Amino acid sequence: MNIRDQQVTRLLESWRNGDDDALEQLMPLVYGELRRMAKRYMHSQPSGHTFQTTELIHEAYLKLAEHRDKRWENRTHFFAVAAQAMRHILVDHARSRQTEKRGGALKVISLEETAVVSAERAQEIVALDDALKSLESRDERKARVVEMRYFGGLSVKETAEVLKISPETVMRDWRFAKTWLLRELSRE
Amino acid sequence: MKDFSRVEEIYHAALETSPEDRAVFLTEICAGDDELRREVESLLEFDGKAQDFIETPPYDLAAAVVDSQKHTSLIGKTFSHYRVLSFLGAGGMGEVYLAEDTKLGRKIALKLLPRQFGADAERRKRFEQEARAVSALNHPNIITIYGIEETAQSNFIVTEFIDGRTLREVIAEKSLSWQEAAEIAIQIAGALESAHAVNIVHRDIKPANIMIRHDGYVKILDFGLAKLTMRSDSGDVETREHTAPHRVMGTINYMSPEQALGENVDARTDIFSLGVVFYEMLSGIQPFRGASDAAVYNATLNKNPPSLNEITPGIPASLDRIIKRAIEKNPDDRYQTISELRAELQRVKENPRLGGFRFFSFRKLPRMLLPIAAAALIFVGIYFIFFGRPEVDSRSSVVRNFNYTQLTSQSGEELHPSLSPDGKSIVYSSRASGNWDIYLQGVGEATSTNLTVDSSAADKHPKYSPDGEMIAFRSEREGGGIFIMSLTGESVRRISERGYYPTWSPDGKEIAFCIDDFDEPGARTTVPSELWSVDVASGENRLITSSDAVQPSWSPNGHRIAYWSLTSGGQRDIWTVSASGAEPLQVTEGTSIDWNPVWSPNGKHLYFVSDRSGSMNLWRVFVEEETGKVLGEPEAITIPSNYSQSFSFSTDGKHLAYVQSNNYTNIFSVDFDPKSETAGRNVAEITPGSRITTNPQISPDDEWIVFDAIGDKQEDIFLIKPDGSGFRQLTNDPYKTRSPQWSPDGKRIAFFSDSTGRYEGWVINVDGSDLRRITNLPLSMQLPIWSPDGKRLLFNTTNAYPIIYDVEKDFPEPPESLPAEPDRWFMASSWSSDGAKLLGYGREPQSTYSYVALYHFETRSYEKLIDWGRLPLWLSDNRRFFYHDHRELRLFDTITRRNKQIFSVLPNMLQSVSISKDNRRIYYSVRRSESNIWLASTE
Repeated sequence: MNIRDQQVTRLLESWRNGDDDALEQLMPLVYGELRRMAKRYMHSQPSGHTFQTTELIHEAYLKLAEHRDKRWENRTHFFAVAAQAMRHILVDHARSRQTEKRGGALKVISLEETAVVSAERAQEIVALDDALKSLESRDERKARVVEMRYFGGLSVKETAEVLKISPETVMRDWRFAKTWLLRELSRE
Repeated sequence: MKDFSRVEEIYHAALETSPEDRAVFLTEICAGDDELRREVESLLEFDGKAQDFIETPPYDLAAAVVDSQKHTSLIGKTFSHYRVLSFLGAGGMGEVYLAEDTKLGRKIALKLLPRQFGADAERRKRFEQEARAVSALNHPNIITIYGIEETAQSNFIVTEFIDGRTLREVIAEKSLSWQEAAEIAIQIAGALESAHAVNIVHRDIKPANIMIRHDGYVKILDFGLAKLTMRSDSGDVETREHTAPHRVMGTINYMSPEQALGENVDARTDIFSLGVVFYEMLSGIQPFRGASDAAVYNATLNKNPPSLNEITPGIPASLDRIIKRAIEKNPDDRYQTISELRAELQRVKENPRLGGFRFFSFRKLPRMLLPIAAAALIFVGIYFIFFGRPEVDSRSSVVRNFNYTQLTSQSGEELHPSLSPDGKSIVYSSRASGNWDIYLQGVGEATSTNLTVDSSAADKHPKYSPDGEMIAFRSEREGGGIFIMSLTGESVRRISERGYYPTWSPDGKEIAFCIDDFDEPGARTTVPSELWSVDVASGENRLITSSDAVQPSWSPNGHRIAYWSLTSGGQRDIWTVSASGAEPLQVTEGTSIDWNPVWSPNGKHLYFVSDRSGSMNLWRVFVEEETGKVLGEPEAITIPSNYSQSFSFSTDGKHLAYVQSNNYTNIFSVDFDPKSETAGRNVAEITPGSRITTNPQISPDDEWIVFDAIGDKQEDIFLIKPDGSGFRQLTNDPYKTRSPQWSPDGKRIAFFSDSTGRYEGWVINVDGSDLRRITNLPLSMQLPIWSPDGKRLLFNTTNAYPIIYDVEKDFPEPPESLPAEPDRWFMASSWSSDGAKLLGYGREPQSTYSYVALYHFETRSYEKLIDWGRLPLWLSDNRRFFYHDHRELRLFDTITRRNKQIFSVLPNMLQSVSISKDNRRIYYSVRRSESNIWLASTE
């Protein structure tokens, strides 16, 4: 087990035990790994292959913390971190697309950015994120559920594990959150 | 908003009831709370629709976005030795991150360049060259570029991290007073001035590119980078598209008309943009606005903004006039140089009726204190500087009329001004005639008189006698010494056979002088220079102090003489000594360069020049004139200049003459044919710009030049390829790090640095690893020289003979020392490749010239070769060597004794020389100076 593996494992455990700073430290590692994995897949997979969020996260996890740490709790917690990372990555990307569009004047930086996300998709993602923040302010747990289920592709069971609630509660949260969000998004 | 959990509870309960029963259920449970009911109902309405909503994660996007996404994913990553800490923002040039330099443990900013730079080698090279020119701008108001680095994944620029806010944020938050706005504009103009001087135009001056540090210091970002982001000079079709203004710039509101039209722009475009920024600072609104880009263009090209006085009453009318002129549509109608604009701003800022103040920089004061400090400084600070005795209240009104006048403006250097006691004329030295002469000029007059036209020898360091009737000066005539003459240049008389920098005793009976001359305080290494005094009538000499002392200044009541001294630790500090030579007392302390002490006319303050704040500027400290006792900490008296020196007061303290200098030292290379012993014509400038880059040394494999550069207060070691590419920084710390020398195998670099508080010798690997200290003696170690086998390192010491260390061993005891010769001094500069001889230079007692000498290891003896010369350097035949006298590079043959000029850099100064292993290319640094005399005056 190399230093980084130990680090990830240790941080995951700390975070699980309520140390929020651990998450702060964990995030960059997860970002980095997600990016490396994504890069590898984007450049090595035959075209047409759609690489899935969960695959990405699983791969990243295997890469980061695989060797001895087979503990289920650590894995799911890693997924939760990764889900949050995925949310930030997607939303940031979508927002930058939007800013670009709104700004009118094309910035040099955008010349190299390929349009990975269509304008409509970008708008949807940003709107969802806004609504999710609104939900977060009312009920933080529901927002976490959405984050893990949607952005991280976590199963109900995995989500329950991370949040230390029953799968039934996850289901209830999920249903209500989806409805609430859709209503928010349907408002003018 | 209804209680969220209550809504949820009812919602889930309602879902469990059958649709037909729901209405009844809701009526009951909401119990008349219509709002609650509406809330639940509206959610239930969406329940069915939400079935598939966000059920599938965005699989299709995940990998692609993560891959394309850059900034957040960089956090925690390490590039070279920079660890990315957080994302700071995205600018026109790319993303900027806060990172930590893991070697030096300090924060820096990393600017990641768009990927296309990496893809196109030609473009990247051009970018590097240009960025290097920009990085050579050394100005306290321009962000410092530490280096340009390349890794497998990306190219990035490493810059200083500025802890502050952009002017955009500052303007958004609060309205600035006109004084604050003017101060910011003046700082911007100062930065632009130094850039325009080397033909670099910013092209994108706007509030988002201007940072205001928390201490009030203004820093301009993205210098010249706007241009670099355009592919303007390759001329292909794609290029033209990219140079279209609306595609390049993020913001068009600050663009000049010519820029908006896509025409060629010059420095005057920056003047326009600064005018726009200034307008916005004063009024809070942009002068050229519009709902669309087209409307902004239209306003820029065709409309005049409302007069500032209409929007912001109460600002000086002159500011309105200045801005109008800066934002004239036609560049020919604007200020033609940024200096003009800056001078006008300065003048308005100093207009007393409007509460402006001068002389003290308020950038160093916390913002909260500004108004109080400003008032206090006007009435107390400046008052004290010029009058000292606070009993005459009426004078304060005079103080407010203080302003700056440029007295000389010839190209080249006008130096050493001495203001006549009545403040009505100056004498100074200049090389306008081809050699140094002394000129007399009335203040307010445009022409000057050459007082030493009759002599072809160099004459400098003039000093008015206390009665204003005579001038003392240094001259090389008749073998050199201190001379006096009348104001007409007649009755010239030698009063001492040695000496520089004469200073009169207040009764005019004696003149004190020092033995050593120097060009730059930082470059001075020869010590000690004694301090002597001569009786003007009898010509009798007396020694005042034998410790190192230069640039003396006799106090107005005659008690003490101030001077600066190069201490054994390599520091340059101010001292005073009693006129009899007793009780030398140290006034300043530290590794900053403190020099050029001048007493205030009332004797209460000792003024001096120091680089302690970054720029070379005026400072003062309370000193008790009779005892030399220091009564407080030095305080800054900031002159609006980057490098000021040679201060001279009139007797009433109302006038102060001084020199504003711009010094650049650049590295060049030229072909050399060792057979014909001639240099080619193919001179290449390797480090352009306005920085001081010196001590170049070519690597044994001819691949790299290592050199040291003096930046904003620190000196570091850099590497660059002979073609000017590959620029990178090797050391980066706040210390003075100098004279890098390649080990013979080209793997290591020796240098000296004052990081321990004293100059010590160090060795570092070329890749920046394995830094270690070699020297361990309480001596100031300088100028390292490798033995040809790379096993030993010689260090020159300021107060002792050279010492040789065994590099392989850790602090061997005792290191070998070269034999001392009584009363002589030897500094080695080149080791012959057979290991047998050292070339160096030395000085005899009482002499002001250094001679070139040879040391033979076998006989342990020195041999004097040439009377006057510096830094001799062996050619590979161990028979001939180069040396220089600051003006010419010469070649000496030790067998035939032939002495030949290779090239001259007149009127500039040759600093140091290196030669390639095959002896076919010479690398050297040349110092160029532009110095003019200014007068600060309260009349």
